[in-house]
Amino acid sequence: MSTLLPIAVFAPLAVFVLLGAGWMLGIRAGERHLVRTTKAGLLVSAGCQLAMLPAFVNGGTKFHTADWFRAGEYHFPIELDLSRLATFPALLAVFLLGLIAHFSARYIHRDPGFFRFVLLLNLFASGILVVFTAGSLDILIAGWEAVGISSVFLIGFFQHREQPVAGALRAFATYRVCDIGLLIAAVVLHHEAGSASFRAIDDLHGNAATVVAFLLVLASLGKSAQFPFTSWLPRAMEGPTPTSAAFYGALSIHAGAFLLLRSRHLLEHTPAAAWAVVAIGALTTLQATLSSRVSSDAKTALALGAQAQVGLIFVEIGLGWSTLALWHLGTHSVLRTLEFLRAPSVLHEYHRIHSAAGGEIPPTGQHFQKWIPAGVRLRLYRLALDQGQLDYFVQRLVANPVGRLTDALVRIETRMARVPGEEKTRV
Amino acid sequence: MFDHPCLWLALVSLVITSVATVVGRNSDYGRWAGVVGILIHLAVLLFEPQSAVSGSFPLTNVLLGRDAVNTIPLVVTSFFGAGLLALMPRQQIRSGFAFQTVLWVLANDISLMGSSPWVLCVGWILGWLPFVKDLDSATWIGFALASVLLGVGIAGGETGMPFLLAAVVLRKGMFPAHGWVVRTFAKGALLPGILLVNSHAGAFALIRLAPHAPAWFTDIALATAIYAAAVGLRDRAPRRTLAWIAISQASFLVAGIESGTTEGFTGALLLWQIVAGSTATLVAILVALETRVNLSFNQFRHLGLATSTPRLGVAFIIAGLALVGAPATIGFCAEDLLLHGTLSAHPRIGLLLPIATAMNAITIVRLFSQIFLGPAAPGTGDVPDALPRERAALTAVMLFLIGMGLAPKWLTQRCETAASAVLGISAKPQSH
Repeated sequence: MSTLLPIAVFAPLAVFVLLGAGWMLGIRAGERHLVRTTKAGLLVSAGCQLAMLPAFVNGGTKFHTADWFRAGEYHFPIELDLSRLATFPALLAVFLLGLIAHFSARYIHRDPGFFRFVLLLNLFASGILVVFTAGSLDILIAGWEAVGISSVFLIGFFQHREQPVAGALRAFATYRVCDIGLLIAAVVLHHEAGSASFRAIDDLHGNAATVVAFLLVLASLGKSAQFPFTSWLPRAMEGPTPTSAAFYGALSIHAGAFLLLRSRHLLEHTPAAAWAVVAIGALTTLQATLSSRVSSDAKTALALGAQAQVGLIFVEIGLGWSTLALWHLGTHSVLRTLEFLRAPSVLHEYHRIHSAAGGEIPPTGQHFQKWIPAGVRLRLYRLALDQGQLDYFVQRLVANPVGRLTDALVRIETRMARVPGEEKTRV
Repeated sequence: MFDHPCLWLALVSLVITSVATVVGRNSDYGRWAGVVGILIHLAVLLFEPQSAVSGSFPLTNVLLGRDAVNTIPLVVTSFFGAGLLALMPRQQIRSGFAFQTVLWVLANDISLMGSSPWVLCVGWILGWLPFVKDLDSATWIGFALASVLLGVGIAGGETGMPFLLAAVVLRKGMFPAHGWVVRTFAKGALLPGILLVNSHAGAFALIRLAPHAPAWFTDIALATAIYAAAVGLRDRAPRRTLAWIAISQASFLVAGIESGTTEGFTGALLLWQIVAGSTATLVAILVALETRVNLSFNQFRHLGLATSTPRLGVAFIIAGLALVGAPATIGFCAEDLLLHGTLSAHPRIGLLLPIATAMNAITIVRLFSQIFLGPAAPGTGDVPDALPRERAALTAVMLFLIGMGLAPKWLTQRCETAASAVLGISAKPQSH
């Protein structure tokens, strides 16, 4: 049974390597073959996961290798754990990605980037399965990075335009800043407990537990677009709709929440971190709800809605309501995927209904607005439009000072290197 | 001499290869003579029996010897030189680069296989002499000074340690002596710079002569890594950006070498290979694109070359991500070992390595987006993608970076053997 687990997790990765190697060697498969190969990989994964379902009642399935690599006293085993917590999200991931692959066969038909989309979708599939089934933080980091890299390159899918590229770079920078928390947490764990397994995380106490908890919270904020790292998510809507569905509706946006769910026992030992999670989730929910109400773009409104829901999931996790959080995560994934995939059609239907009604239909949802004084409403509107002015504060308090310092260093170094200014550097 | 026929045959084959590159420099014959000659030399060299290690150096009755410590660097420099020759544009081959590369491989062989510190010193000097005409005066004076300091350090024995460390700072391009790397990358021919950086002569001198340097020396390396990563984050010129990334990631080699642990040292040896392979790939691709595109890369926010050169783009981003430790690449294993192996000796690395690596990762992706993404710059519509020889070389590099990343045990075991040999040596009193 345990050998099925690595097959389930790495089947999409095998498809990724196969397709990528073939492309480098000049072998081009047609769209139909690409989609079928992707679905085959996901089907293999789903089949293996279903075959392991009977083990669910006994706590799940584990897979453990001797060592992936080692040197001296240090060794790095591959530990996978399809626990009860991971079974539902892992199966859901494969199901939703298969659906999205099927949808994309028509939606991205004949787009020059079709192959790139399929390749990155397979990389993402394996990455998210690794995140869900990782038995240690070391393995989780590998999947976490794969999810981030595939997400970034799919945000920049329409690579001939500047805005998607800028959005992709912003998302990557946010991910890397937050991932520092994950890396340092792994280092602290190895130092304190001799291992970065989730068992070691659960057994951690004292100051080390508080430090690790806050670091994991930092890591989760980036992927889940929680306060104050919220501004990259609307920019990520530059990617194609299936990407938005897979990443920011279904799976990637929930990775942070899943990390906290996996570390829920640690949060129980560290009330400060737990309450921080509650506060962050609540703030994000409030800010995202306000911003989504003033959004003029359908996908951005959906993304902000997803952000608000994930904020609520964070609140549930912080309060210790893990089962509710897991169900919320799963059902939200399904609903949001549907909404994203339907978004283009909904816009057509909206215009059709308005035309059939002979003009504008009055907007809904203004009942609660009437209770807010006009002056406050205006200020809230402005705040919502600027998405809480987080961009302004991050730019002014962090990015600009650091940028001025590093710009000064670049000027000094350029002068010392006596390099010509903008002239052509011909080899 | 006749006791070590493989050794001398390998060196003689390099000399013959260098002549062949001069004779054939006006055609591709020179290029392929260099590639084949370097690979044949490596194959012959690997037949040379491994010497035991005495003190810090190979135990042999001749000037040179292959041991557990230098085998991996010998393989890396040979593949590095051959790969770079395969990727170089024809203009570079015509201007004598193939000859310089073969001489560089020869000099590195002498430096790596030297059975005494003085032979290592000779190899140091020979390593930069072929490039004097390509370097500005400040750089080759700095190299000359480094060679003198190395000699003084060797002659001084234990009291010569400060001179030795100063020589390493100069040669390796550590802060504040990092300027030569940036200057060499930024102007003129980019290729001598990448050869000089990737000989890692300074790092190897540390392995042989000072595997237990004072802790402050590692602090200098860590400061270099952070400084270079921070500056690279903002520098918009592609060549200088590559220089900053190379300086930053290569600085961690020192931390691993000085860690005193098998894990840290193994990580350093792995990182050596990754820095060599990745930076060579990045530089070669940049040079190939500069040759194809008649534009100043510094002037454009985006060049949009992904549409016309997708394979070069893919190779660029894979090499770049491997350099900063992306999973499924051997870089991930190297950084993991480096981090955990150096933690006990240098706790600060637990904080600084992730920060520097994160900054370098952002820089790499920014550089990739600058060159390959965004609206296509004027005149970039018909740029040819990877040529067959480029495709073969780039595929080989990516197979190494990803293949070894997925199945790293074979390579880590060999690096661990070398690490154990060095650490076993350092327990004995050193006499030069």
